[in-house]
Amino acid sequence: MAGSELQAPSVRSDGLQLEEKRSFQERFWTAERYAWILFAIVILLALAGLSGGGGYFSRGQVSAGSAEIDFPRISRWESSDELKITLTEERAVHRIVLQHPFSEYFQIEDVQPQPERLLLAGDAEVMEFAAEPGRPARATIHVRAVHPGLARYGISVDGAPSEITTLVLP
Amino acid sequence: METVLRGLVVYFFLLVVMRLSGRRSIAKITPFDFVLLLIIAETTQQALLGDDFSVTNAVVLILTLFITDIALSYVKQWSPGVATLIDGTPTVLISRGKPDGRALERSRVSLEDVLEAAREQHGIERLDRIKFAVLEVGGNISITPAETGSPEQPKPKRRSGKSSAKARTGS
Repeated sequence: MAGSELQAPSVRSDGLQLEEKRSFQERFWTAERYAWILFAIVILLALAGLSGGGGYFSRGQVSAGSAEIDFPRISRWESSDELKITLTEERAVHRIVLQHPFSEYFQIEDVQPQPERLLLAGDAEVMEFAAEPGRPARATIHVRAVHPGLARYGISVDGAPSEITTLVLP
Repeated sequence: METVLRGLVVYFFLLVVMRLSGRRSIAKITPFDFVLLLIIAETTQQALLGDDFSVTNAVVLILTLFITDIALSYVKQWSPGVATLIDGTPTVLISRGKPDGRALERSRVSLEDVLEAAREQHGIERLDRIKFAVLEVGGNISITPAETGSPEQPKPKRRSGKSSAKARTGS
């Protein structure tokens, strides 16, 4: 082996043979403290919902005609989430269309209640629900993000379109 | 590909977080710290494997982690700067019997920790019997006892360990 690789640390003035690198250690201690502040900020952002999984900013609401869609603004890859659609318009049949590229980002795990009919319309998925007249209805679509990224997709309810953006975190 | 990326991300994330959390956590591992480590291991396992519990995934992941570790050990060998950044450097906490208040405070080690290490390693009962105390790269505190009648012992019996540290930390 080369002699340089076996070079021992120099002996300090106090007699200790050790390479302390105190100036590096001082800078690192400072960096450590900044990192802890950063960790705390990340936790606060997570509590606010910016990492998905619940919290104020994790969900959003949008209207599609008279319907209200409660959707995940921030979701997580491979974890479950849900779209809640509140239908207030009196109709015998409600029609929800999940437009492209919804299916590229999300896999539908379950729909509550079960739709009466499921249709394919090009790239879109169509769900038809029979509803009891005179009462507001709510459909919940349980989804699971299958790709990380920024998913921009459309959902139309009874013909009224709405644009939704969900950030799927890795 | 996804498995390799997951492995790399988790490996380097843990490396950075463990390094930035400081060495005190390893130096003073308590039963709760041990439980915490188990929780971190369990959380990491889920992030690493996802939903894929196949043997192939496990094999690729294990190889990724080992190869990354081996590659990093070579990088550390070639570059002492990287080695210092990743592993840190030893910190002298007591030199010739004098506690370094700033080093103790910044590395979050108390004189009680130093005394505990002194008792464990050498059966030393008093602070003034310690010549050197070094917080090593591995997180343990190594103690060099003072020779009997050594001139570097700073005024024994005048200060207790706690007040001595406080006085010096404040200075």
